Amino acid sequence: MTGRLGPILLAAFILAGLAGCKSGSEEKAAGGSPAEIAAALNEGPRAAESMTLNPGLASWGEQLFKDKACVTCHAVGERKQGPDLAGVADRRTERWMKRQIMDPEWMLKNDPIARGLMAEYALQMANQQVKDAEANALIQYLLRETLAGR
Amino acid sequence: MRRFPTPDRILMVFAAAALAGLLVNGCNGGGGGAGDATGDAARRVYVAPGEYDDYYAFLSGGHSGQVFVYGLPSGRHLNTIPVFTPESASGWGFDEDSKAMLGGFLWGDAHHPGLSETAGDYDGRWLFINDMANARIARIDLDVFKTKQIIGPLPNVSANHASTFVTENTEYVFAASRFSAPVPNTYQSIADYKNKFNGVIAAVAIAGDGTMSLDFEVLTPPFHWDKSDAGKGPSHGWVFFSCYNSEQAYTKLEVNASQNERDFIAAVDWRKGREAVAAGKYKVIEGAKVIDPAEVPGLMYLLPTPKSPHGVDVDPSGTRIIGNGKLAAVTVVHSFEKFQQAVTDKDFIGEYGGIPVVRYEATRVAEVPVGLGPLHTQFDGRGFAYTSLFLDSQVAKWSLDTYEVVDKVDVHYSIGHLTASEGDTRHPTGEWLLALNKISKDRYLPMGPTHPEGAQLIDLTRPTMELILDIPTYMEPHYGQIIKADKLIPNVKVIFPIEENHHAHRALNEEETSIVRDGKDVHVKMVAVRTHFYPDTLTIDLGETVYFHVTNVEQDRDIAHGFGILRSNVDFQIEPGETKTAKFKPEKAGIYPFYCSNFCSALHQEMQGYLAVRP
Ligand code: HEC
Ligand SMILES: [Cu+2]
Repeated sequence: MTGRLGPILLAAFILAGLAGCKSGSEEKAAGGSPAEIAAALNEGPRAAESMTLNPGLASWGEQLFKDKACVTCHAVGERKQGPDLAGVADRRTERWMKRQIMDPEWMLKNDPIARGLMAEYALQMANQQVKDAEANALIQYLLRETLAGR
Repeated sequence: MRRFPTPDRILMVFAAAALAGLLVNGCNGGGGGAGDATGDAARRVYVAPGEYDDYYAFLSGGHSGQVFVYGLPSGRHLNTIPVFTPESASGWGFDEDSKAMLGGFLWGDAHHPGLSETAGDYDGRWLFINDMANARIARIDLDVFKTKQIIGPLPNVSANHASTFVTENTEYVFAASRFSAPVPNTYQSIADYKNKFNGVIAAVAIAGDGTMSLDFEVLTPPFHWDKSDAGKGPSHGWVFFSCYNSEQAYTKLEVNASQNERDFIAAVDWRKGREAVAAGKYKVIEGAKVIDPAEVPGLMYLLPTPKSPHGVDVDPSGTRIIGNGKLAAVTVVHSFEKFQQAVTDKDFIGEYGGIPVVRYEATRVAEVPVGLGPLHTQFDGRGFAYTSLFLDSQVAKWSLDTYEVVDKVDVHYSIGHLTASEGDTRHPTGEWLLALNKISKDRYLPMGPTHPEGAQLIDLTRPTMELILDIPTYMEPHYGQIIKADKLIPNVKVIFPIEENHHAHRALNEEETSIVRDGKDVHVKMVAVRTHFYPDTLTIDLGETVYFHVTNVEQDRDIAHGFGILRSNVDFQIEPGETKTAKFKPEKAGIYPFYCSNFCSALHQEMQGYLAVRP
């Protein structure tokens, strides 16, 4: 009895002390609940419609696709551990791809499409620490491959 | 649960604490609370799930040869850094690079971790640690928490105990012989100890990138050098070594080396040592530049100190050198200024092998009656010193102003070192003290004759020392360094950036993998990525040696792969972005499956391959 009471009271105290420390304010600042943010990522025209091809960027993206080891899990026209990326710019928006490439942890927690893919592939995509400019180049490469494959 | 306060006391304390908590709405859980010795102890050490500790504590693992990382105040064991001893989970000593670094040794005796310093304060770049047994020093880089260099066995140094003890701007770490031996180490009759044996003090220079190299050595009488500390502030440029066995005995030391009422603390001016080497005043012995102190006046002095002093500790101001009596019930305070004056006045009472012995009364400013078995002293930055008492199993707190003992606390049991938060720097933080105990006896659930060893956490922020947490450890926590986590966090790399991987056999993707034969050697550049090895099948001929150069191409935090070969001694972990090499020479033809030995993903079971060995 003696031994049990302490922890319970301690927990009560800690809860009292910590309540309200981490509100949802971060999420609000970003403009909505995770579900709303995820839905917004998938809104609008697909990448192949909204984007214009930049061949220079696309060929840097092709190199990055190898150097960042994307190619160990993905190919264009073949299923490996990750999805076949043929036609991906016809399936996804630019914003969705960018978040998937740069922040796969968040996508796998919150985005229904990414979660569907995870169920299918039984694998969490690696966060390869891709920087903003690199992500743009990678998406240009995927765009080029999508257009070429049409 | 023993040692728990009575229910009504708990209610009172926690009600008060809860009230205080509500009032301040403390988000970091620090400060405040009721002043009861143990009532709010849980709160003081509680670190909520997902939160970080305030401090890293690096504790040496004695003859486990390793360094353990703890978080404080929680006392959680965060990780183990293998240093001098092979360790299979990380693969330390199993891959070719770390195997080469271990140099064939299977053990080491890790004693005194020393953090790198800038202007006398921890700067968070490196942690140095000595191997007493094989006279080595290792450097752990604190951006990756990995051992990056091991220097030694240092020539001529026999049992490197008085090490590492970093100088104020990380110019040097030191090594010194605890068991004097012939220099060079050749056969001599042990009875010729006094004439044929010598002690050695070695200065290991640290380059700007952390690279260690042996700069010079000093030949000394065959005392047993025990502990050391580098000067700071006014005493910067000096390093101090305590010794026992000034009797120069070689048998039954517990009696024969405990005859003299005073042994010595040696003061060595390492700048003079450096100058002497530049002036060519040395002999090369076993590849080391060895200085005879008789030929370099001003290099070294002996300060008599009672009795077989163990720890020598320089106070935060750098003005006092404290010798811990071990066999005398006092801790002696020498004044650095008075020592300098005595040198000017040539206030000497004799010499040993050309090294002047300074008159005791000329340098001593206090003998503090701390208690029985004083071993080591640390500081809180508020004018107090804390001395461990091995025989009394206590810590004594005393004033650096009045030299009076003001508080004592029991520890359990037989304390050796103690380490305070940044407690050996110019600016100790004065928050926490860890008692590093040799024996735990009845403190933990019984589990057979082998007992955990242990550290105990003492809160220094209260009017009296309060022991509030028992922390069991694997192998003795010999000595430690406690550093503010903020100093390390910004520089810690949580992956190895793949752009910085310049390994000669790195492969970033399948295209870069290869199998290349060079005579009887087969070099395989291999990629590991969830959930594959590329290549995952391979055939060699019996008699060939295969080198697997495995690159983990992932950059994802905490996604390490393993590489283990069945019926072999190959197994290691490969961190994201890292390349490691396994060398394997099968003894028999047959099939050798290999697999990922470090859980990585849902398809981890599938992460495997086959090596076929043709007869
Ligand atoms: C460890 C394997 C792995 C690596 C490395 C990897 N991915 Fe993925 N990727 C996946 C998996 C698996 C999915 C499916 C979603 C999930 O389960 O995470 C995926 C999904 C995707 C998608 C969405 C595919 C679709 O059909 O909508 C894109 C785009 C993508 N990855 C691009 C990349 C790029 C670019 C890189 C390199 C920076 C990369 N991936 C690296 C495994 C990987
Ligand atoms: Cu794996």
